[in-house]
Amino acid sequence: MATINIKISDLINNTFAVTTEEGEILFNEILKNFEEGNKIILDFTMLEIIISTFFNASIGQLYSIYDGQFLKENLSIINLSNDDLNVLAKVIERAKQYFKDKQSFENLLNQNKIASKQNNKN
Amino acid sequence: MGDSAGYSFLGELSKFRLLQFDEITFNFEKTRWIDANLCSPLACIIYDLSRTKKTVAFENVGSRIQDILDRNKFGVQFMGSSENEDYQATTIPCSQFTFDDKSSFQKFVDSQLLSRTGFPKISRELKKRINTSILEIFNNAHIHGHCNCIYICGQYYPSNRKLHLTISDMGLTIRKNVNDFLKSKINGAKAIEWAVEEGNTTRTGTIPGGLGFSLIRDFLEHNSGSLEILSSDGFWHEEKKVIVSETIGARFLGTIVNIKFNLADQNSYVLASEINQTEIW
Repeated sequence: MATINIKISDLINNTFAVTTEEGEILFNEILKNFEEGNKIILDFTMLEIIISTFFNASIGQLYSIYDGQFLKENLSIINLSNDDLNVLAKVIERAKQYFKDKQSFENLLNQNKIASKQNNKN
Repeated sequence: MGDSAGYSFLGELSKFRLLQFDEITFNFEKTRWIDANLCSPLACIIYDLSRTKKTVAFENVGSRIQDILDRNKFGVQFMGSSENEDYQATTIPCSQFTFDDKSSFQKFVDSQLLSRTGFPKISRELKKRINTSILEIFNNAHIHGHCNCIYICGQYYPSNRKLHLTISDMGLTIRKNVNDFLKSKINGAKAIEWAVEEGNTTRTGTIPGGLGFSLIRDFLEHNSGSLEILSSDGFWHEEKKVIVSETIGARFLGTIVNIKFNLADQNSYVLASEINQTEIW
């Protein structure tokens, strides 16, 4: 196990982190390192603009696989301004809710399918 | 223009794509004024018409209107005007950006947008917030509009130090997206009301969403700015926490987002309290 420092501006080759595609590049890099058992430090140095779209695709999307406790233990952040951190906190809060609602929605859908099959049998 | 009646007129124009005529003439005979930033939806409509092989002509354009259209480069692009200097340096030129060339848009936002000589000097934090808001709108159009480009245009008014900026697209409307997602039949105004609420998103995959508009609204509230959205038959406006939401007469076959930024804003956008990054997970 190693601790990997990812300098995001180098990874996406941009000082603006604003698109879904750029977010997915970071998401895949994080995923790859977690699968190798590494811990990650995300370094936001040199990034001038970061928008919620980027945070959603990179970090928000992690909640589709990992829980908060795992991320707290394996992912840390450096050189992110306080106001960007505030946006990230909102993205994370929203991501948790999104996947909770999505799960509830899919459970409801599955229950309806089962009920529908049972009705058809009857 | 800029009110619901003006937007209703743009809605009528957007439907010209459905007409069977090959040539459409815009007659400016009784037009005394045009908000320069609204060249954005006008350019979008004309671009859309050109894609359906329709040609557009202009007539009876008064010198005052022509001056506005030339200074923000609308004239050069659509009216055959020669390059005209923006002698007051207060316009953000009417420009088209495609989504496969996002870096050009980012450069435009960063370098041209707030660096015009006619604009007041603003703090780094305010500039960052304005840039962020514009890029959120740009991405929204890409993700939800499913269109291939947007038009942006802006005008700075030194008298009240407000920057009016408009981004338009002819993609899927908010009404269409929201109704498809909710499997509902709500009107355009109700659909926009739903879309601007924090946490609401029509995204369905593994990437969450639903924050873009609420972040912009929070910022504009502090900035004493305003936000206007027109999409399909819905018109929605928010200023100083007062919301007006109404159905307009003619559906606009796309989306217009009109933001007024207050460049006289002296607020600090640096958060006073530190956030502990280990607690955000």
